[in-house]
Amino acid sequence: MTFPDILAYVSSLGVFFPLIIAIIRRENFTLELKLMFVYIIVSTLTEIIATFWARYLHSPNHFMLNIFSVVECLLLVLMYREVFINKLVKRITLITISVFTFFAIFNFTETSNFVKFNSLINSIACIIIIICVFIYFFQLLQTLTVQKLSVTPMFWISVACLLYFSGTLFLFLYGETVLFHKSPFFKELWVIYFILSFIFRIFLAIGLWFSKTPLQLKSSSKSAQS
Amino acid sequence: MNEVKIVILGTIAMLLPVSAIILFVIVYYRRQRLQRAAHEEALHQAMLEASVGSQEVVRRQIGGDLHDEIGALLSATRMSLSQLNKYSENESKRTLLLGRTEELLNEALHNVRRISKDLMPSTLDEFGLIEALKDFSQKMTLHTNLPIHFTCDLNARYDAKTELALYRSTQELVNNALKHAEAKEIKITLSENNKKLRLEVTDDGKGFDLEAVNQPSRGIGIKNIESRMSLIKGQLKFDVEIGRGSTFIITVPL
Ligand SMILES: Nc1ncnc2c1ncn2[C@@H]1O[C@H](COP(=O)(O)OP(=O)(O)OP(=O)(O)O)[C@@H](O)[C@H]1O
Ligand SMILES: [Mg+2]
Repeated sequence: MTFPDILAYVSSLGVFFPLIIAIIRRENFTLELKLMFVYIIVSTLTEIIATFWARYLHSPNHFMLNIFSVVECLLLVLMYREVFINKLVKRITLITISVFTFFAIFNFTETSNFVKFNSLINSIACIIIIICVFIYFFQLLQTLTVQKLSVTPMFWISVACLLYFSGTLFLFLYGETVLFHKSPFFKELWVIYFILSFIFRIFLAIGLWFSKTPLQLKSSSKSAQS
Repeated sequence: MNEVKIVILGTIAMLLPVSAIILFVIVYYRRQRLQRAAHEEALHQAMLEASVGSQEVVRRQIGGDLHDEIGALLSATRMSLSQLNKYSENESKRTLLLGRTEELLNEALHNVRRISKDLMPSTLDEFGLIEALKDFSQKMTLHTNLPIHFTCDLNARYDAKTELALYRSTQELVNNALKHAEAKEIKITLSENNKKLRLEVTDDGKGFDLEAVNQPSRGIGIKNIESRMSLIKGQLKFDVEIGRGSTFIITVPL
């Protein structure tokens, strides 16, 4: 086993961190965190299936990554739509995500686009999510509603998304050249990807850990009164 | 594909989001701090206003208490006195009743002193600053046998806060002149010019050194005036020197 292989294993295991935290904290979840929960379940399943697919069927699993990136973008953007306040922004995100989905489906009808790693669709998905993160940050600066960023789930999730998707965007922009090149240098680049996705999952887990619902607050204040 | 180019681009691709996040956190907390400061400032101002307002409320409350408490005590005194007539023969009973009446009176007197200290003279409330100052100077002249002249050719009412502040300040300044100056005459002048209300209190006493007033161990009278003035955006000016009479000038924007 080489170093990148070990990292690949560790980062796949990293998928379970947010999943475990999400299961523990699921009662606290507001709608946007529930969407995050769905996303985590989907990504865990994809990870598991893709690994077995590659290992035991010995056939390329790229089509799975293509579908996953569309679903991922859909879920994350819907999550951000939940936290956006501005009505116009909400509408625009909905339009964007619908257009993107239709475009992706249309794009996948060409078989070569579907079975091979589709760097165009993946890159667009990354860019859409990054834009959502920036809109969210801008909204925070405008409203200043959050008292402490360090205990705000959406802040951690946004940091995770920004780091992960801008990193992977870079990798996807070079597409197959980077990802499937045989030279050792490009193998090193994979290391970066594994580290990124590991950080991504740890941050998601931290964010979910800090989730609190109004319901929980209410019951604790009730017990304080009695 | 140039490997160096990829490394450079990759580094930039990682540095950009990291610096964006750091920048965001810094800007966020700075804005939050600014907002909080503005908030506190507003709160402080509101509390100040409220405390002035609540002083008025408390004053009215005290007025009520005075009426009820002192009224009750005086009623008891009257009853006690009327009983005195009944026991004109019984010497021991009479002394007892007289003692109790005196006690009641003393208590009433004590209560009046205590409560009236916090009360604003009703002349100020009803007839305004000018009448109140007139009244004040006349009464003080009677009490102290020292001529206190009040000059004013205005006939107006002012903001309640301003009137109260100016009245209290005059009281303190006249009190100071009586206490410290060994003056033969005190003059109070109220006038308006340049959209400003001007109050001048002058005595012909021995004067004092302004430096000495600023010592922390000294009284709170003048500091009190200054804090009253800061509330109504007024100003207190001194024209003082050892060996000659002192002049204090208060100006308040209208
Ligand atoms: N008209 C005056 N003539 C001479 N000295 C004065 C006069 N007014 C004030 N002073 C001096 O200034 C000092 C400060 O006055 P201030 O009213 O602040 O304090 P105070 O009168 O001593 O104490 P308090 O205000 O508690 O009654 C006085 O102690 C006195 O020495
Ligand atoms: Mg004094």
